[in-house]
Amino acid sequence: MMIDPHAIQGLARATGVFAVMNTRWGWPTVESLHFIGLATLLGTVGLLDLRILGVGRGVSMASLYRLVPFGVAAFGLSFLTGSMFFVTMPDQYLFNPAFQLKLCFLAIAGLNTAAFYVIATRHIDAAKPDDAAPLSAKIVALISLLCWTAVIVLGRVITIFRPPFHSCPWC
Amino acid sequence: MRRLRLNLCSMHWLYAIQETGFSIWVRESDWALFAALIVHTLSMGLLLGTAAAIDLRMLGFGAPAPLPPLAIFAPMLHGAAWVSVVSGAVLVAGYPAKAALNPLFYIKLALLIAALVITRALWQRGGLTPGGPIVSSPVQRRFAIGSLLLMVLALIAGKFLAHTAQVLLLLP
Repeated sequence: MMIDPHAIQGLARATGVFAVMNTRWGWPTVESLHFIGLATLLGTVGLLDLRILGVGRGVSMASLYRLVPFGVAAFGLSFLTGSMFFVTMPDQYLFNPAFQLKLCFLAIAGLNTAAFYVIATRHIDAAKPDDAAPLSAKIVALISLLCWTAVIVLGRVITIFRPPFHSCPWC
Repeated sequence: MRRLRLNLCSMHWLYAIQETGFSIWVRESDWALFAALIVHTLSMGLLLGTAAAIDLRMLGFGAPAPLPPLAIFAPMLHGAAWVSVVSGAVLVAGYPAKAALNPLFYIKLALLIAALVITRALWQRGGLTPGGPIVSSPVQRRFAIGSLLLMVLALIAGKFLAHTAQVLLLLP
């Protein structure tokens, strides 16, 4: 199925997102909010991932886990603002290999979060501050850390592979 | 007149930096500028995100864990701050006039320095040291709010930098 960039941009125009993003401060404001979301996600979920991996032994995993709702809210903010970029200039994203890879890592991170709730939360609730996490939780934490890092890096790389200056090799 | 002379003098220096071998290499290399940009983004994200998480904890979220063990993450924060400084310096070296002739660049620097000073004071005096208090005090909470606000404003200033630059390169 071929996705039509004009139809997506039509949605942006109809909802007023296109007009907002094309004001003088629209794009940088949304960009700032997008990065605030990503940084908060990295600081909350990333810190918990590091603790599960063994960094910061002595800090209670349960305490860091209680910051995760901020990470979830931050992801919501990043997703919303990211969608605003996408619908405003869909042709710059749809055929951009960095954006496509970013979506892949986002999907892996999403599945991994589900695995985290199944595998790790039970252990986190019961763990003492000095306890080590089981190997399964460590693997989930490592995948999470790698995925979110990749998402941030690829978000930056999107600007390098802007069509039509760079063509997507598999589009 | 004096201001014009100062401007011309600073332009001279900026042009000299712009024409150094390192600056030209950063601009013309296939990867240097983007590598610096990626490293700067990651380190700033880690710095701001980790500081924000600890500020949130100071404000009472994520309780009831004691505060002192969070000091374990201090070296990571220091490391991220230094990587941000070095990668930021590489970016400025590539396009010195773009940064130096934009007032927002100095606002970003001032906000970031203020945020780091407050964060450091919060950590040193606020109890994130072994044997420190378990619950954050009202002063600590005020410091945490200040640190959080300054970090967010520094980030916004940084994001607006690229969109407000008037000059990219200086002509001879």
